[in-house]
Parts: sequence; structure tokens; C-alpha cells
Amino acid sequence: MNCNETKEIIHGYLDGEVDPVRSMAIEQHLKDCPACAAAHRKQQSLRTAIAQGSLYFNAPKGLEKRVRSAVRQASKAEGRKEGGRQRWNWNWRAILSPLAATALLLLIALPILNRHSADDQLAREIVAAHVRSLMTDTSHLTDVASSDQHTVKPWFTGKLNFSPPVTDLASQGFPLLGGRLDYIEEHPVAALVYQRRKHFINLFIWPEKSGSSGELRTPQGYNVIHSNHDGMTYWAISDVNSGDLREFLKLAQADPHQK
Amino acid sequence: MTREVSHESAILYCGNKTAQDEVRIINGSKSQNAPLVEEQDKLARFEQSIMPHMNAAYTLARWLASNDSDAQDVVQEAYLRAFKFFAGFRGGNSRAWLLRIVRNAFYDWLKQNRGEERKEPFDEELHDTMDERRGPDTLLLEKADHELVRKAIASLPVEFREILVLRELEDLSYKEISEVANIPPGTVMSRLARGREQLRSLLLASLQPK
Repeated sequence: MNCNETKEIIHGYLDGEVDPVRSMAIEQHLKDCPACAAAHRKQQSLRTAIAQGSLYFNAPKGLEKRVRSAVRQASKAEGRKEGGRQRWNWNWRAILSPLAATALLLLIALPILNRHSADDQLAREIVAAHVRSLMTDTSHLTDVASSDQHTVKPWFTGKLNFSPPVTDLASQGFPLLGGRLDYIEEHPVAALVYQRRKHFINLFIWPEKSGSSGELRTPQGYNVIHSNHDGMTYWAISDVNSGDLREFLKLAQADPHQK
Repeated sequence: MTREVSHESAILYCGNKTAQDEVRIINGSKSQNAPLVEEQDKLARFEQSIMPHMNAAYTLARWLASNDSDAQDVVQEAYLRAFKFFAGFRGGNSRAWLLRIVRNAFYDWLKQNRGEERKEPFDEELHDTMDERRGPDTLLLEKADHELVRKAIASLPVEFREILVLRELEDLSYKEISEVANIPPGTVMSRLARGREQLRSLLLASLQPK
């Protein structure tokens, strides 16, 4: 989150209209940037002034009485009109059956729609985990900090019921920083941390074959790539550009013995 | 549907009557006084769900119309319309639903009674430069008393005033504001931002000795 982005959505942040991930990013930015923090304080003081202004009005006593009687009058007139007219004997089923049909259609369509939202949900979890790992210095980033794949890989033994492939890619410009345990979709997963110049890359790995490959750019400005390889599912996320991230994932999935 | 009714009647009538009989009995007993009963039912539901929002309706109308007697007229008209359209109310936030009608009633009333409200262009440049010259204002703003804040909000152009009132006083979400004020959701935040900026400038201008 930079100053321009913060400035753009600071009001949404004040009003509690920003999703938790972006909220966290803004909070972080406000800590780091005195100018934005000052702008934020200004807006807060304005809200305080408004809140102290007791600007809410109570309806005058007579008004409610008058409105109530006017509405009752209208209701009576309506009742007489309806009563005088020969009413159809409503067949409620005829009215409700299109509704029932719509409901049925939705029942069939929802699982299909849900499949998409399940992917969305997962992508959101990935973004949240990535942001969390980078919050407040980098102490959340790694549980085991090492650029040596032979240190990182064994560290996962006994902590996960699978062994994630770990490769140091320093010679290709993506040095390994370490690994940590994370928790995605209610399962412990392996998170490997790499660096690209000043940027961090989180690579989440767990055994699974389902879900299609794809990539997306989140509204927060992260690139996310998902693909399956060799019985494992891989999610790479970073603020590096999507070309670099694609290259990174290809390298991470390459068989080390063939290199 | 059908399965449910026949299941029920099987229990109630031990199989002596069919589902069709059961439905006919219900319809038959209802048809004579149905309009009156329905109307009373509607009134009761209306009084329960819409009447309690009188203060919210009056607050919005009061800030839009700027005086008590016009605000009362707007509220009464809005309530009558709300009652008329109540059958179309699909649940959800009944306060936001009512406020939308109050707002529409106000603009209709405005057209009939005042022509268009005078729009005084807000001199953003003037207020901006004032701001910079006068430096830190956070403490100063907190000294603003009720009357100053009231005056400042009252002098905002109506399109900013209504969004501020909906957000700060009625406490509606952006989505609800976009529905009440009939503007795209994306516009709510930018209009709030500009409204707050103007309000801040107005307040500072009135707080600073000339």
C-alpha cells in the first residue's frame, strides 16, 4: 500500500468499508508514513467534531400522531375500496409456483456458482496468509530461516504428513529465505519464502490435485498463480510482476535432478 | 409445496380429507373478509416496522429541507407513500427503505415549492489556500461547538449534505447510501471524501479569526 492508494481509500477505511486484508495494509502504511498518518488524524478529528455536534433530530411530538392517523385513514380508505370490489380468489399456489421453480433452479445452480466462490475464498486465504507473513517487520515470515534447501526440507518432517519439494533458486535470482508452517483451508500447509530483489514471494504447497490452474491480480495489487504439479498444489503470491512470478513457479516445479 | 400440504392434512385429518379439501377450507373461510383482514394485517406490519423510524426520517428531512415545518410536511408525505408502496417492500433494512422514500419526497417537494435549490459554487481554491496558511488544525477542529458544526453542514451543497447525513447521522453503509441516494456505489466514497473536505474547510474558516 503506497500513499496514493492509501489516500484513495482512506475514507472507506474510516467508515469500516475496507476488507480486512486492505485494512491491515493501510494500518501498516499509517505506521510507516507520517504524512498519511497526519491526514488520517485530521479526518478523525472532523468525525469527532461531527459526533459531538448532536446533530440528530427527534421528531416533534405532534408529528408522529399526525402521521399515524393519516396512515390509518389511508388504510381504511384502501380497505373499503378493496371490500367493495369483487375480489379474485387468489390461488396462491399459482403465484408461488414460479417462485418455487426459481428456488429449485437456484438449488441446482448454487453448487456450480459455489465452485467459483470456493476458488475465490481460497485466493483470499492465500492473500491473507501472505499479508500476515509480512506484517510488522519480517518476524512472521519464516519459522526456519535458511537458504539451504537441505536444512529447510527436513525441518518440515514430522510437522506435515507430506514432504514439500524445496529448491534453492538463488542462481536464478530467487534466493530461498526459509520456510514456515501455515494454515490454509483448515489444513496445515508448507509455506516456502523466496526473495526477488526487494520483494518477497510466498509459495504455499500441499498435496492435492483438484482445482484448475490460473492466475489473477488481486485488488490489493498482488499477483497470485495457482497450478498443480506432481500430486501437489502450488500457490505462489507476491508483489513482483506476473512474468517473474510465472518464471519462479516454473523453476520451483522443475525436477532438481534434471537441472 | 404439494407434498408438504398433503403430509400436513394427512396428520390433521387422518386421511379423511384430501389436500385439495384442506386448501378449499382455508380459502373459503378467508374469502369473505379477506380484504379487510389483509388491510389490517398490512397496517399492523407497517406500524411495527416503519413507524419506529420517525426520528431517522425527520432527521434526514430536517437536514434536507433546512427547517422544521417543511421537514414535517416531507415526512408526512413520505410516510403516506411508504404505506402505499409497503406491499413492494421486500424485507431488508426498513430504515434505509424509508429514507429513500423520504429523500424522493423531499426532491419532489423541492421542485414544487422552491424550484431548484440555489447552488452556490463552492470555492475550493479559496478554502484550500486558507487551509495551508493556517497550519495544523486538528486541535482547533475539536473546539468546534454544536452551533458551528450545524451551520457548516447546513451550508454544504445539498448533494454533499445528504451523503454526510446518511453516513454520519443515519449510519448507513456505502451500499445502503448508494441505494438511498440513487448513485453508483463507487461514487459514495468520493462524494463523502469531497463533502468532508469541504466541511473541514468551512469549519476551519469559521474557527479562525479573520
